[in-house]
Amino acid sequence: MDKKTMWRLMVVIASIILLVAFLWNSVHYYSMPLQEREEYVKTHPDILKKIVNLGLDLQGGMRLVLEIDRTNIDKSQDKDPLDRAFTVIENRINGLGVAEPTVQKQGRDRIIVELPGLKDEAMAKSVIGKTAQLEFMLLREPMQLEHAIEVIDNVITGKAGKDTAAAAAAPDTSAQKAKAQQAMAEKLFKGAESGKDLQRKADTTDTAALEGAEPVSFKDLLIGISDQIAVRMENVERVNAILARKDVREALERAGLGGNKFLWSHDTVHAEGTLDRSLYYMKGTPEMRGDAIKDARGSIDQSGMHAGGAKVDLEMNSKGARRFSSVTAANVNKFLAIVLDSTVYSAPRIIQKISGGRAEITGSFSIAEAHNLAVVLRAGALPAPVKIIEERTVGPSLGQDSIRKSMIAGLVGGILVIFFILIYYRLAGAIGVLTIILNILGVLAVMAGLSATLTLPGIAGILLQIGMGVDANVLIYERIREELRTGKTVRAAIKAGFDRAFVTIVDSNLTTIATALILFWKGTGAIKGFALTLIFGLIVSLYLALFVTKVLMDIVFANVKEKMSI
Amino acid sequence: MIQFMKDTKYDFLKFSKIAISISVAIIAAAILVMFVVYGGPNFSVDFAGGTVVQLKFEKAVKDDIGKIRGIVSGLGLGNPEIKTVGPVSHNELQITVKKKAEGSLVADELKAAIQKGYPDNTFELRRQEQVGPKIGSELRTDAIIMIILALAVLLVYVGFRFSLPFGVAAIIPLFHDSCIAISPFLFFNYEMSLSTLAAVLTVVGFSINDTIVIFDRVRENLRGGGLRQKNLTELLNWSINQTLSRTIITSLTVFSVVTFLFVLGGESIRDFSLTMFVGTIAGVYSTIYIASPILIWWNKRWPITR
Repeated sequence: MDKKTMWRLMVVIASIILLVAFLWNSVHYYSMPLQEREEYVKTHPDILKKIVNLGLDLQGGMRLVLEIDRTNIDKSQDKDPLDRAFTVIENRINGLGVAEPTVQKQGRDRIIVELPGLKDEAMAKSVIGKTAQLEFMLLREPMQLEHAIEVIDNVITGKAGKDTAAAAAAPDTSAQKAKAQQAMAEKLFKGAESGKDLQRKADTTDTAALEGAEPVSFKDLLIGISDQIAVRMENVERVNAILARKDVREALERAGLGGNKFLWSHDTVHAEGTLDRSLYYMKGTPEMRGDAIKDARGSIDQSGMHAGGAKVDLEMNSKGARRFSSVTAANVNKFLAIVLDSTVYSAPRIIQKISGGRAEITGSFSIAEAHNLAVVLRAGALPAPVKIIEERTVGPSLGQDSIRKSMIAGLVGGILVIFFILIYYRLAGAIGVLTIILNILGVLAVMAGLSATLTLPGIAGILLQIGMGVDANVLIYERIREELRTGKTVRAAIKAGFDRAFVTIVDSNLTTIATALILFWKGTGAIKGFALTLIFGLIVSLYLALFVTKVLMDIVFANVKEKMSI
Repeated sequence: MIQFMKDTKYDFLKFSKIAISISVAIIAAAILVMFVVYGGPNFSVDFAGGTVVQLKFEKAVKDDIGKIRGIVSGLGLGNPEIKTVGPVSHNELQITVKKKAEGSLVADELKAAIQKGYPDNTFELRRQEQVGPKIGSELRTDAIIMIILALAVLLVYVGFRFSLPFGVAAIIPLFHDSCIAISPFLFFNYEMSLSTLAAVLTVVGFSINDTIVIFDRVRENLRGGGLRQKNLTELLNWSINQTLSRTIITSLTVFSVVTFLFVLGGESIRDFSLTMFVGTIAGVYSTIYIASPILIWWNKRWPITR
């Protein structure tokens, strides 16, 4: 083998190693049973960006196209209904607890929502269709928060008897006393109902089983970020489970804290290499609602203390202005959170009483963040109703069926083609078979590298690749045979065969790529997936035919002087 | 060594007049049948707008199609199309409601009504598609744009790489192949959906591929001074014969994959594989019997020199 061939062989081997490396994660992931995959995604959130993802038609799921209903929207005044609707829907979709949802804007008035692996499609649609709720809520003082944490921990670590004592230690307001007394009475009453108690016990054991054997204290799940609390992303569901527990809710109520709420922040915080979500403890009844707002704009502060920084200008209507004035007067130095559909977007501190209906929210945010917050405020003030104009839902069982059936069809078809090529082209056919297999793996590797989505038509596209990928080899081999018939030596025939077939292969692949590109550009959903596999397949096929096949032929037939096995 | 078609000298183009007549007859008949017998093209909800629900019942429903039809029409949704999916023992039904007016997204109403009619038979949702009329008409427009654009791009590409007569001769067969590929849908009033469109464009890709392989050989033979000894018809015949074994092997492999996809691939992909199945045959045939005669016809008027 000469030095040049050696180098080219190295490149071939390197591409195969690269291919295996790209496919490694996908093979690992899809060889796990379904249940384990869900767990794996939780512990390895990046995995979905490193594998071939299955489209909604294969794994089951829902795709919705929503359109802004402009019938009640004044076009000249209303500039950003799409942004507002998008903010609201994105927030709600994230609250659905579906893994890897996507929400995208399309054009001027459409939003595309994709929910893979969704089990309850009717619920998801009703959640998306609701009107947005914007509320201004006061944050509770740290002391009350500490008290609540103590009460919760008493319940979950089993020291239930303490909670009345804890209630007594609470800040002594008469309202709370009354509430505590009421709670006591309730407790006595409920104690008589043994059935309910049993239910409560069942609830407790269920959650304990869910969380594993060791009881974890609520406090241990919390981390402090400045004067706020936050929770590691992986613990968010555990905290939700604790807060949803019936005994926890009842204990909080008995302690006089029933009127308060724990709410999550919309944004996540990166701290010390972990991803956290802030948890706010709020007074349950809102101070104001979205209907108080007239307008909100993000802008750059021109003067004052924060000159050059971004801010949000908030404008209230006359009714809202009066309410805002009294709220701010009574709560100076407290935090007033902006809550959209039960998610906290921002919690600015009230610096002074604000009358006149104009407020400014300043802080360490960028102009983009200020703009986003303004959109949140407007979303609550001016609803931007959407309607569903297209829905495609595939149940998980149908997706499984489709994968299984197309795999069988592909295997049977593929094996037949492989046998044929082996019998017809013998040793050269073996190289052809290798390139067919590399072609299919190559498409998947490229898709894994780009974390592209494989759809059912996409699988069809890959299977067609078996057929079309063979074409390049056939063109080359037939040409070599022709050259051999004219009496050329093996070496010369291989060279001439490749040289002559080169142009044809490039032309035929490029034209097919051109049509696939058009499909990709204009097609939607599954069709795009099909076009994508076709394009990747043709590019991989070009490389394999014009480079890899040539190298392998040169090596395999290097010492063959006559009677080439082709 | 096995070799199909070694040094053949078939006179393919002798039959081109008959072949073209047959092609034209099939296409005309398909269009005629579509309009006269079925009153127009049958578009799926993708293009027409409407709702499809595919339900897998727990207990047998094979004798209940009339009852379900009654339930659906009772909602004022017109006459639904109902068919069983897969073997009857699967108890799987597909219900299609097409309605052009607003409010064509009726899957939830439909399912609720059916569940009410079957209090002791539950069903699992296998698939549900709802397309508003606006989206349907947009997808129709997009489909036409896609096909025209594909043909235009190919005309330009082949025109540049070869020459204008070759470009024209390569494009016209693609119309032919697209029409033949969807002809079973026209003859039997099958629904044409987005997958049919994807398949048609794949057929276009495959067919131009086949045409280019033969045209490449024609070009090579022209450069080798082929026209000095032969006329264009002979030269085309010669080129077709030279590439014949490749044509047969490649179409056999593509064809066998498509056949297995059609037989084993399941309902979801059947539209696609049927279109491909017919289209691949048309693609191979059209290079010989549509593209080549166009080139010959062109050459008679404006001789191709090179």
